[in-house]
Amino acid sequence: MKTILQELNGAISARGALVVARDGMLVAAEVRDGVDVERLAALGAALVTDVGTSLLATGLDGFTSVEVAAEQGKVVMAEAGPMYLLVLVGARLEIGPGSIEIQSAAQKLIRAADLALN
Amino acid sequence: MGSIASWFGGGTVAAFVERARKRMAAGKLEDAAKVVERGLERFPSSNSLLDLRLSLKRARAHKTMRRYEARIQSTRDALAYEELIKLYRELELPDEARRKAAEYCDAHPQRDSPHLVLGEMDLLTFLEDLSARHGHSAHGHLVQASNLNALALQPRVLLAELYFCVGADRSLVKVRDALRSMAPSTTQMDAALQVMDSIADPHADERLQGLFERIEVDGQLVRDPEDWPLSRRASGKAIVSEESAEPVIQRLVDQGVLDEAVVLRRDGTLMTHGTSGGAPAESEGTLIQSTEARGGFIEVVRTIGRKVFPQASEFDMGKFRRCTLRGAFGNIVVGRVGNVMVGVRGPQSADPLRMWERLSVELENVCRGAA
Repeated sequence: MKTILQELNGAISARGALVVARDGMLVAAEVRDGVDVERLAALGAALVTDVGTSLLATGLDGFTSVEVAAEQGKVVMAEAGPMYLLVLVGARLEIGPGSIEIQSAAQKLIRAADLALN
Repeated sequence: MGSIASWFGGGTVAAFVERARKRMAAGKLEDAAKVVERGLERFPSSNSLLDLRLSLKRARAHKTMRRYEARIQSTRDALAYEELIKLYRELELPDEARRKAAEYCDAHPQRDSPHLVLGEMDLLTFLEDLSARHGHSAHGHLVQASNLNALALQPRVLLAELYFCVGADRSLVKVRDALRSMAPSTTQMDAALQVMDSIADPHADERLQGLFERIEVDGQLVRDPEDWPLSRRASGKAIVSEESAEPVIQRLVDQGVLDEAVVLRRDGTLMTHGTSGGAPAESEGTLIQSTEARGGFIEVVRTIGRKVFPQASEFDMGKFRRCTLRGAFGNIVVGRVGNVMVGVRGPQSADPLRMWERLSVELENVCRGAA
């Protein structure tokens, strides 16, 4: 999984990427210097557990993607089978949960998870 | 003024944006700026046009930035540092401003101004994200600026604001006394002194360490920054009130643009809630926890405001714009408009950015019209 995250970081010049399980547990992470992996994992956990729980309490299904956009960067989270892929990127307009690079990495993660289980 | 539907449905904002982008791509920055300004005359609150104006300002300021940078490299000129930091802030590049101010601190350790810049920026961030880390940093820099310049008024004014907002009433007494002896009498300063006289408590039991941490955990300040008479942030910012927000929300829901919309105050209490399904599930101004479908959306918005925005602010990404969630439920967008947190929910087929822009533009227009 780390290789998939490394390749993704390189492809879109991301500051970091990680995989979190649906219970908010960190599965794998790959971040550049200066990015605190624990803080990024805490953000991933808050999105999956706090926001996910409040959506379920509302009677809404869980989310398939999240994008937290700021002036000079964004956090993108996309569903990857039983997990979520979270990416920290610069303010690139074209990068979002539907970007081909992020979707491709999500598919690779699903396959890697399947292989690990079988 | 045309209807909102004609602004967006007719793509007029998009047309201005496209024309300006074409000129930018051709290197005609002055022409692009004129197109953007014409667009903003018609649509003063369009996020797309405001973003483009900022991008153009940055592109046009490039040479000036390089000139200041060269002066800093060759002579460590304090004035060049100050001009460059000011320019970065005008161009809304807080990380660059912060980095340069830190470098200025190292190059000129006896000067108070870089500490004032860092203190003010951290104070602004703290009042937005309520993180203890930014509160402590703001406090440290402002105290340092005051110590380095015994006559400086601004760091003391900002310290008073910080103490006021976090409820550090014993510290407020000290800074109030300093301001009373130093500050010229103006309507705003007199009002601030009056406010401080009414609340400052020399016997309050307080530890700043605990105060900042408690605010981060509670997710709310002790006093609203807008009640501070010397706040510069209050001016020019859209102040959304229940009277102004409710008709906007209801109209957009009735028109089918949004399925649901929520406006929360800074402290997380409900200001207004509109849904295509009828009455809200939470009383206005209260924090009743509800698991019912309609009340639940309020909780989703509150959770994003309290948990996601503060945590995401740890990554130095500058000013937050919005958080967009997609799923089988449709699209949810949450962001700040002036003094409030707004959440909207719409169908999967709706473009979340357009949905958001439509609401935020309308809210800001109504607030400006009411001012």
